[in-house]
Amino acid sequence: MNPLLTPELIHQADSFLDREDVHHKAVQLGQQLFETFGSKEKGKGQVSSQIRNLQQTVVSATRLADIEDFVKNQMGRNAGPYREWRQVGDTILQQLRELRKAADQFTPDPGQRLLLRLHLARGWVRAVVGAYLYAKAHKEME
Amino acid sequence: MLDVPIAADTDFGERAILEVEQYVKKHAAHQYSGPEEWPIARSQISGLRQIAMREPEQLKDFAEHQRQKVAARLEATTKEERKQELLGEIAFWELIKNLCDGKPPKTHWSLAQAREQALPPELQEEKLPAGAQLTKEQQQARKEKQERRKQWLRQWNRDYYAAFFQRFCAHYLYLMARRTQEGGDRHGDCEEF
Repeated sequence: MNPLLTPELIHQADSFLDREDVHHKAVQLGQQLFETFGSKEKGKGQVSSQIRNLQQTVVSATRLADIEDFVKNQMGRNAGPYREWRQVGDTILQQLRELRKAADQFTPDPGQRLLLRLHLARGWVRAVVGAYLYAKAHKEME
Repeated sequence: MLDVPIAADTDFGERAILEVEQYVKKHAAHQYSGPEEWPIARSQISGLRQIAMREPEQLKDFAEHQRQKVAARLEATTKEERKQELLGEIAFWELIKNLCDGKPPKTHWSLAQAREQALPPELQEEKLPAGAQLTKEQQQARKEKQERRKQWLRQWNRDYYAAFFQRFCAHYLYLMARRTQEGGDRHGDCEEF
């Protein structure tokens, strides 16, 4: 097991995230997150705490399962914004599954796959949150 | 260092999800319309997760205790519908016990079996021949090895029980939400990349 990401693997992962279809899905999700969570927050300028929670979970996760479990737990709650999470959760989980599949294609090494999944997830959440913030900014300019 | 997250992301995680899917398919797929009717309540899942993370060695006993409580209620019940619900609860706690330390041939996979396979060869227990005499040094070495083994087992339990049951509990709550929300089960109708 080689728990190091090579420049080639990072390039492959980044190229995957840059693919038009993949990026488009992430952007759509960001917009969906704004429609679901963004407009319900009180006060302009505030980023939904749910989006921050998702972002923080992705950044601090030590495995993709942590992120998937976070989404499932949010969907499975019976208090707080669980209804909103149930609207967007399956799309998030589906996109995470695609990241997992991509990592599996790029390397057979289990340690590299783990790190690559996390690298992909962090790139993905940047695109998602970026699209969320863009949608939010647009709304605020209206 | 990466063994635990890799396991959680791959075989352990997949196993946990599979076990929940199979249980739900058999015991909770169609009979329940609301989360409050599911065989195992959210609070019990929360308790299960807490014990798995903090006191994994107690999990099997916890499951057995829960099973016994439900079995006592089953004996006192005459309503057929309620009996079926209680049987579903009993099946859940039996599943947890089996996942902890089920043995072949009845149970093909359990945490105990996985732990046994993962145990480093240098920590395997050695059986002494009958009447074997050990020197003081050998006795000391044996004692130290047992202590190392004990520590290894404790750490393994702490890491892997948590990894397994985090996924197990999250997926149970997820299915509970998916299968009882308004509009019914939309499992699998989300967009593909």
